[in-house]
Amino acid sequence: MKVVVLASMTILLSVFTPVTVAQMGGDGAWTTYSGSFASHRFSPLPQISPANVARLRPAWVYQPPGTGSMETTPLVTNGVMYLTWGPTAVAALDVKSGKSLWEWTRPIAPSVLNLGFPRVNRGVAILDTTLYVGTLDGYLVALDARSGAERWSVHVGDNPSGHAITAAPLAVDGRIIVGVSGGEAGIRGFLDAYDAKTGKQLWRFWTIPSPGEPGSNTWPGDSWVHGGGATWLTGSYDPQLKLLYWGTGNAGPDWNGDSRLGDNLYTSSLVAIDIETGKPRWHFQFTPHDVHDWDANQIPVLVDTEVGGRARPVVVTANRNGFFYALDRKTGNTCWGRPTRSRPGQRASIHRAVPFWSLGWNPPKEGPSCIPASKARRTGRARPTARRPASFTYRFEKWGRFTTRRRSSTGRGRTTPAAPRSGWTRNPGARCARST
Amino acid sequence: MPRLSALLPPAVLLLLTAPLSAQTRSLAAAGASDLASGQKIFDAQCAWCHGAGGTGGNGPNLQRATLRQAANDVTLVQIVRNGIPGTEMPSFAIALTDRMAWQTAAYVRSLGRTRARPLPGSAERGAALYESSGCGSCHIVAGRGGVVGPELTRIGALRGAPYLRDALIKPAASHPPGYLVVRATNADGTEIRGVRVNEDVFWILLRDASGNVHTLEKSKVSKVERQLDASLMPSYETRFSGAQLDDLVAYLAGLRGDQ
Repeated sequence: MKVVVLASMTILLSVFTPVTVAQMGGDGAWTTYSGSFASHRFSPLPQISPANVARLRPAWVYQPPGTGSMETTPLVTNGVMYLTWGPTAVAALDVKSGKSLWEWTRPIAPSVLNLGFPRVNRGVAILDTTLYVGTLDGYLVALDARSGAERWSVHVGDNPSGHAITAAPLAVDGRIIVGVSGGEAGIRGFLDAYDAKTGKQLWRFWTIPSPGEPGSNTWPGDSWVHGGGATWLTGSYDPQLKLLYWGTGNAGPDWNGDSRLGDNLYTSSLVAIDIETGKPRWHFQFTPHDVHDWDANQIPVLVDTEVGGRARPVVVTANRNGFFYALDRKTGNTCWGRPTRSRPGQRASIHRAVPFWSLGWNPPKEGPSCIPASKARRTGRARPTARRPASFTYRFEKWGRFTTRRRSSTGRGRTTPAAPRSGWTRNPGARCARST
Repeated sequence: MPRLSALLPPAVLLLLTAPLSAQTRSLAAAGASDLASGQKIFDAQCAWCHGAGGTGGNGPNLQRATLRQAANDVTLVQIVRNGIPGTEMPSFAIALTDRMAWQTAAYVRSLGRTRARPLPGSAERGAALYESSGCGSCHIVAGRGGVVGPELTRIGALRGAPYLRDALIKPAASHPPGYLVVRATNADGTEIRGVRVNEDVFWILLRDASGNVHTLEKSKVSKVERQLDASLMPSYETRFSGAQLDDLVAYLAGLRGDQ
């Protein structure tokens, strides 16, 4: 039986050679979460084609321990595949045999919180001879790619207050960029950059401005403290403009915006961030004052294309609000934005390609949400996938607040949503809304 | 790993019931017979990982006054009974009664009181010797080094000084689990010798002395020889003087992974 495998799997001797930044835009290996800094999520390797795909057979099976879902995007370079599973574990596999070269598991106690997302890990970053992985308990760990030995670890976000890392870090020019999960727990979201060699923090971009900062007038009172805006998927990078493009998640509280009247910047937005300083260059908010959990963490795809007869660098993204957007990469100006599907029963009109609704507007009975697009390089067409989940919302007469409890054993603060009985801010129908 | 429940007849387990108050008594109050019982259990159940007399192995060396995971007597008894979730320390809750766990913990505590004399060598000179002798080309300490031999970042917490000295003098006699030396002969007569990284029915993966991984398909290899008594590490018995070995052991014994 002839088995079709990727070209890189034919390597017999896996001599370890360092992965350089230059390779990350390359075509063969898959050395970063979305395949390249431009995040096309498309492999140009021609060995698998429509003609032979029906004849693919398993070459090997690797079974990680445990049950639970696996959301990893494996990296493949120099005959080794690096993959992860939950809550926080990494393995290096020999691609020829599927046998592991090493496995690394971080002990994660059952008490480690994952509020609003599963106990998963989405992958690693690699630079030179080091792998970088985020942990469910809120650390960034550097591992020796040859052996899995720990080189350093750094505390990124406090887990007892709802922070966790599930996203794959992004390695850029000697920096490791890492985002956090926890928007449903009412964290104040951020994106961090660390020195790849030492783990020293280089900058932090808060996705929720504090009082006095630009955008802070979109948050009444102290609602910014629990504003959400998690950075739970890996973004993209333009090496010419030296800008990171990173999506942000829902505002907190998630399904009811009564305590945070305003646009709630920079939640449900795409933010272009200066790689040197961590300062935002521009932002585009897809859903102002989001009350539908319409995160904008979908992976931004960078393309150079013609818009209105003029070559422009654009970023395209399929947003969870059901619109597909093309924005100018330098300015954030809208090139165009279109609904991907009709939205029965929706009253919203389009205002600068953002679905517009007034406060108190009820969610539609039915509406599509989008998950990451991939770009087929040969046809030049982006391929977003859409689904049409049913959605319904409960409203309590009295809404709760995020409360801070003290943890006696550690003395650390613990911020979690109040229990449903006292008016939990999370919509009890959310589970149904997302699973159907 | 053999469990106590698998080794003892059920009747013995039924007889070994003890008052609950045993668990709360100070471990220092244990008499000679309690310690003897504790040692018996330790030798059968714990020495597999922690070494005979608690000198260390896959599990940490226990011949120390303070144990990182067990700050007090109650925690130590709990760990003996219930293990440490998220680590390789398993639960013995089914196998051990409260009294047996208490006796075992008392014996573990006694190991810390009979701690060995201070080591004769200088850790500082040992560190310099480690650098100048190129130990780091095969071993990792704190994220730096080669991958042919085992990582040594926490070796001082895992192994006692006598073991470390033996490993330097006779590496082949004390090589750790997971470092089996294999010599594979290809059909064309060429040989690859290295440490086994992984193996199943179809494949064997070897890491040679240069750190390169070889993926070998067993059906295409004419011979696979497992060298149970071999190590890729050379003996330092004649390369170093006795004083130098003392220095190196003092350095290694101080590596606890806590910098």
